[in-house]
Amino acid sequence: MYTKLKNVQVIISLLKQNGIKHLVLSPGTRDAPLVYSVERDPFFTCYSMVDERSAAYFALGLSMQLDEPVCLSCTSSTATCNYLPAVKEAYKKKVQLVLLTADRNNYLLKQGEDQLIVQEGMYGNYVKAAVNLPIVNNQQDLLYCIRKTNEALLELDHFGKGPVQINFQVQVIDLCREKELPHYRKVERVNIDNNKTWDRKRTELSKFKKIMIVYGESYYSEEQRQRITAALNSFSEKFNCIVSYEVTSNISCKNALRTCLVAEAMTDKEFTQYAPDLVITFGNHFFSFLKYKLRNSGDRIVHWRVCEDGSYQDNFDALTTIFECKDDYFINTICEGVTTSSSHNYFELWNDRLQKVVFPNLGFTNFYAIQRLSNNISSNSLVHLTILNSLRLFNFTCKNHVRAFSNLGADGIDGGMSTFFGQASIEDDLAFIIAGDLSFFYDLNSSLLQHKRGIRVFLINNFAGSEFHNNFGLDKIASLNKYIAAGHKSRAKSFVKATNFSYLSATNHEELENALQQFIKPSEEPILLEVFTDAHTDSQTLKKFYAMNVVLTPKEQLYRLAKKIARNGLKKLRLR
Amino acid sequence: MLNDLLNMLYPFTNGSITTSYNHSDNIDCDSLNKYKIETVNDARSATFFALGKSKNMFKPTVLLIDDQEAASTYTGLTEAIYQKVQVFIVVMSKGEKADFWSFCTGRHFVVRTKDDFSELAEMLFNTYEKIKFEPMVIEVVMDYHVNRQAVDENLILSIGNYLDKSDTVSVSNMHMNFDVTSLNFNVTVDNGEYGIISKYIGYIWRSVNINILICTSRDLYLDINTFNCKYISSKLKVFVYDVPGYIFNIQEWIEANSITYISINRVEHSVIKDLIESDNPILVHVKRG
Repeated sequence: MYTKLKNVQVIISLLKQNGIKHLVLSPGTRDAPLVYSVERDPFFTCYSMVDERSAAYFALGLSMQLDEPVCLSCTSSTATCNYLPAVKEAYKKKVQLVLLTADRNNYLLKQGEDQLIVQEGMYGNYVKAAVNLPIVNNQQDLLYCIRKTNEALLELDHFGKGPVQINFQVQVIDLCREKELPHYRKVERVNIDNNKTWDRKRTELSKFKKIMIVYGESYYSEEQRQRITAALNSFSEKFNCIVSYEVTSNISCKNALRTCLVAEAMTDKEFTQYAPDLVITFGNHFFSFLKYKLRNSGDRIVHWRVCEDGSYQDNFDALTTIFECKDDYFINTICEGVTTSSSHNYFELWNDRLQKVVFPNLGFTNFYAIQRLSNNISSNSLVHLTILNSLRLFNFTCKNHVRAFSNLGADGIDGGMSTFFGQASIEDDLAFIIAGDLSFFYDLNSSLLQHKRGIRVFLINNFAGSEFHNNFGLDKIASLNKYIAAGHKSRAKSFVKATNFSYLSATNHEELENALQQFIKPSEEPILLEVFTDAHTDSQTLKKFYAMNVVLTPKEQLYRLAKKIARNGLKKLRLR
Repeated sequence: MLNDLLNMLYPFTNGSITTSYNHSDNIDCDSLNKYKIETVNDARSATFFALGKSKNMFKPTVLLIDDQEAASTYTGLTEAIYQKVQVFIVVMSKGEKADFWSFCTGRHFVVRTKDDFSELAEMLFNTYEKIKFEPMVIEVVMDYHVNRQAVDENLILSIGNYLDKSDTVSVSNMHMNFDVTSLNFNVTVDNGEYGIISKYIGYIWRSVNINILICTSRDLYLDINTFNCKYISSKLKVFVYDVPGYIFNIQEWIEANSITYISINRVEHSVIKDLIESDNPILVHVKRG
């Protein structure tokens, strides 16, 4: 019989799945739902100790003897403080203790509630992880508890062993009458040493029918990149898969598809036909809205994460395995022993969809300008994209393989120019940055550096932040350019005299072609090419691109039409 | 100790140091000769520059700053953390507690004596695999010196002929070697690291009296993008003195933002009169002889 409190259920379920069976318990009401559940489950072995300080030392000794994690549980407030002396020693001696500290509802902290102190982070740097599970009121709370509990338990033995704290909040004390303990998703970590686990994972892999590799932002040396290409090609032969990539992934292979061309506007409904059953992520961030589609499918997909530092990141609430190893090591090792080649209908499904992508008339917009530039940048050039529209449009238009970068760690516009200048400082050939005006003027003083002759700044100046025109638009917010999109009147032209840039500009198709002729050739001085467009037209064109490439069911089409009529009235529709 | 630290770090780095002119010109350290020194004057920009360089070279760059510049590295450091790119931020510190480092990064060391090196050395030599994706901040408690130009006493006195007790002259990042208490107007001194121009523009937006700013070309350099704003009032009256390492051609940018620009080598009475009486925003650029 178990508690109905979901955060406590998650703890118990994951302790069991991780084979952690020893609990040293101190008396209390707050942790009673946990205690009363585990004491009646034959899986667990429980011990009773009143003095929490002694209890922790007892657990320390027991854990050192067994070389297994041992749990501690006590009631809220100063009971938890008594664990500290032993925790300190456990940290230094690398002993696995799991501190299950019961807590009252943190909402009431410092508001006069009984037996309530700050327990989050209380053990400072003496625990390898400290998580705080809230009271579960909805699905998101539950997913959060699952994530945090897994995270903490995985730190027990990661880059060395040590103690962790799982603080759990309880308001209602129940009498534990649930017959069954629900099963909650466990996350495991696989190292290069766990041979048996790799075998088990290979077996698991063979059961998936539609595999989507999502390649986030990465950067490799040339030889590493070739190793990964070869590994991915081999994987693509053996499994029914696609490799979803973006320019900042800096990889290429047979089954590579730039899914962002359709993922941005795809409806959730349409995505169900294209969804994978296994997602394998590599690299860091990827900007595409694909991640929202995958997150919405979280309960129907399995997610494996590959990263060299073994860090925990559950992008879609579907994570089951973290492979702590290099990217090519994973691909080669997981493929070992697979000799048959598979059908490729999952690739064909996505590929067919992508072949149908059409572009509207781009007029003279940022979309057009970036497309023209992309066609002229030679392979292997360094290209930096500022956040965010430059990155998006380059992803839609880039044809050659280039080395692409963007500050996708935190998506700021304050340092794009400087980051590029740092990257380009070791380049011998032409190095490009495609920048929006807000990014350029924000990081303005970096333009004052003495730039190498191969630097090429392609500045799209539409006198405002494009992203906000995309997200809202002048038709929705008439005063958009005042504050949200920070409209301005500045031109780089008035600044270049202070720099060592030579200046070109373009306001139409012909001027752009002429300017590009010079821009892509070697020169004596670095060049800044300022292209002037209109922010409203730019975002309308992008929206048209999305509209032309979204597939709607007849019902969805009718619904969108009705919304339009409601907003604009029949007249504006110009029905002929 | 800075010397020992830079020596110890060298094999882990890509061989380059990014720092501002004030430091590259001032610091005398043998180990610096091993490195290639790149001058990027704004610490915020320098942090991103170091990030970009580290990324492209697959090995960390050293960013050398002082504790006054520290706050400006917060944004670039955060980006480096999330991109998992290692940068070594070496901070020359006068010992004041800068509390935000531990919030930002888990790898923060303070070095006061040779004994403090051992924890850092342990981390670098024995557990590098564990930390190679994380930026590190190493504070070295030491004395460091930043050059500051002396303000022209005659300028202050001459300006005073036109001002009364409700008016102010703000002097930024320049030495005051003389007594100002007996003057018939207010003189304030501000040695803030950043935002001198932005602060001044904000301050005079609603002021009724005369406020004159005397600052350096470094103050202007660091805050140069602020002119791209809608709040340049007609009350703006600025003297900018060129200082070595921060000299650039500002005329066109100033004028494009509707500010009257005057360039001189020496301050004369006529210029002061023009400045005081001008109905337009006005900037007087005093170049070095």
